[in-house]
Amino acid sequence: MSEKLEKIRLENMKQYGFGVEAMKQIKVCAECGNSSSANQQFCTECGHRLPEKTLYDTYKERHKCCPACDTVVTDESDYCQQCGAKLENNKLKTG
Amino acid sequence: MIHRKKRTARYKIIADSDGNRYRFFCEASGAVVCTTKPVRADTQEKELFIAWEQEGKTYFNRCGKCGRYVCDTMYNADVCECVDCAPWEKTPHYCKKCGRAIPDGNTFCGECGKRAMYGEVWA
Repeated sequence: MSEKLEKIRLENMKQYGFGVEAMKQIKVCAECGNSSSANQQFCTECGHRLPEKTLYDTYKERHKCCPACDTVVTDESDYCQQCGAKLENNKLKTG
Repeated sequence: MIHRKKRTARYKIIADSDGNRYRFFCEASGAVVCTTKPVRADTQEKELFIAWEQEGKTYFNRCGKCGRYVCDTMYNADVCECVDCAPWEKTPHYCKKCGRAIPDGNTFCGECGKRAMYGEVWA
């Protein structure tokens, strides 16, 4: 898939609420579960302080990340698919 | 008639003058996904069934690996699994197994035969 097609794919995914770009835009209130924009500090539904982390931050913490380019990679990856960096086995990026 | 308990997403019951509303939550992010119209039934189990089958479940995706009900944002539609089970993969430039460069458009690595994207989840 060319870079241009990949970009279109990612834009479409974001528009429909899928993908990492969509996750970067959302914080979830721990108190009531309301979804808020990533730049808000307080939940508009219940007034509770929102977490610092977006859904994307939590997603990154749950997976292995390439230390060179910060791409989230699958657990079985030995090399980063984006930059080719060798990954240490079972190395998780600490948040 | 419900003969056995069917699993639903995590939910909370909200009393309403016309019955009970069911608020369903994404099991990956904890976000509210939908709050149903008020439902009434003889038992709470039947109410839950009606709320889930007629309205709630249309807003969810079920992970093919762990079985959790998740919202669109937490769903990897490429492989029909939640993003906890299957993180998103972009078009690869290098093989995740041997590190060799993968030319654009290749489905498999020419060096080790590993599938370029998503590995074993795609049969």
